[in-house]
Amino acid sequence: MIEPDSGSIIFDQQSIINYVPSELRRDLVLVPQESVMFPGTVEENIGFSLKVHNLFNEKIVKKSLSDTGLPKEFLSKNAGQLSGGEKKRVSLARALALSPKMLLLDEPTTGIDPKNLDTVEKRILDFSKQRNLTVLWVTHDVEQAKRVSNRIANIKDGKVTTITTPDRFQWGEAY
Amino acid sequence: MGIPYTPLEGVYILLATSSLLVLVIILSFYKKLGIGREFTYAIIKGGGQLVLIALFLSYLFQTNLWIFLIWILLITMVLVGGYTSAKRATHMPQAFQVTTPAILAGATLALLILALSRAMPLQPQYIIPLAGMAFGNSMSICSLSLDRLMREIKLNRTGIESMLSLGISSKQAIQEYNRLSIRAALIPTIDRLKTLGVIFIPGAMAGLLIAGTDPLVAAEYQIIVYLMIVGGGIITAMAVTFLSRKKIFTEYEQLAEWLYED
Repeated sequence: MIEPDSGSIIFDQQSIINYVPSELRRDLVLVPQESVMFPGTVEENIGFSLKVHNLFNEKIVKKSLSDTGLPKEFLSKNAGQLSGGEKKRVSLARALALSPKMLLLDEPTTGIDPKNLDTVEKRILDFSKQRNLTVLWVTHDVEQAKRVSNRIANIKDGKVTTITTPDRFQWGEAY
Repeated sequence: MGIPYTPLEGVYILLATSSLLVLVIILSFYKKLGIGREFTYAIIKGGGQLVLIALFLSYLFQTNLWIFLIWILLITMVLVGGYTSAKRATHMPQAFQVTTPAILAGATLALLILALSRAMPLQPQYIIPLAGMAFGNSMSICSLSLDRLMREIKLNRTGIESMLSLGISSKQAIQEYNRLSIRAALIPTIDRLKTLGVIFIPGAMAGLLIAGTDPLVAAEYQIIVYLMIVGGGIITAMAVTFLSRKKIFTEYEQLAEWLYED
């Protein structure tokens, strides 16, 4: 979060600058490109923030995991020993456990096996519909952007150059 | 009792005991150990400093201005300690704003309790050595704590960022690293406490024994002093972790930019 030089970012009818940062991040959760696992099992990872916020509930943990397409047997696995793609999904499940209003996904399919790419994309689309969740998906893959989005914003040199629908988005617009 | 020779005899004794060091220096040159020059410099510098402080103390113990001079000495101790310790936090902007108050808090509290409990009579011959121990120990603990904290934070940047992105507050995100740094800083002190009297006789007790104090009284005094100094050290370590948070995070609870510099 950086205070803008001009303009403002409004989230839930309020400028993000006016939020207590940790409270804002519970409703607007970022899933970073690099999936860092906390020490412990997958269950402990997904439940980590819930425990900190005194909201731990096993059902929420299981639902969050299944929304990302990983079977419940994964709950007892050591998170540090998962593959890159599995870590990415646990990272998504960790975010979902907070029941956020919006997800910020930074290249969510980086490091995912091409065979599982479609599955992960589909899972994200499914849970975002099911949970009525707004997703801001950052990608360098124009085809992916067209596949997964309702609206595409093209950013060049830190400035939004176009905002359009996937069917109207032109290749030339991408930098 | 006390030291069993006159100052003039002391000079001869000093020269006699130096013969071992001269031998070491000659051996160092002969064996090309490369420590001879630095060793000689350290002896001259350290010895010179001790003679200077001895001259200063001789004056201080006699003058009516001792209260004023002690304040200057205490302020110097805090500032030098804070500045020295701040060097441990590479890249942290104005690190002395963390180290100086942390050392001040720990050492002052220890000295205050020593004074209030009458373990430290308010006379320069008590205040100066005890303040030296309190500030010196707080400075070491401050440096160790800060050094470990910086290493942990830099090593675990992405983990901390992941926690922050899940709405975990900056305080909670570095709680574990604070705990580790406080523990690490106290390891040498705790080890010293465990081996008190077995591996070495600590300074205050050694001084009292040489001055002819009953060993039991000397031991009792050493324990009092040591407990206060350890207590002060713990306060310093806690203050370092508390005060560092403002430097580690921005006002929007992000890791500060300086943590990304190598």
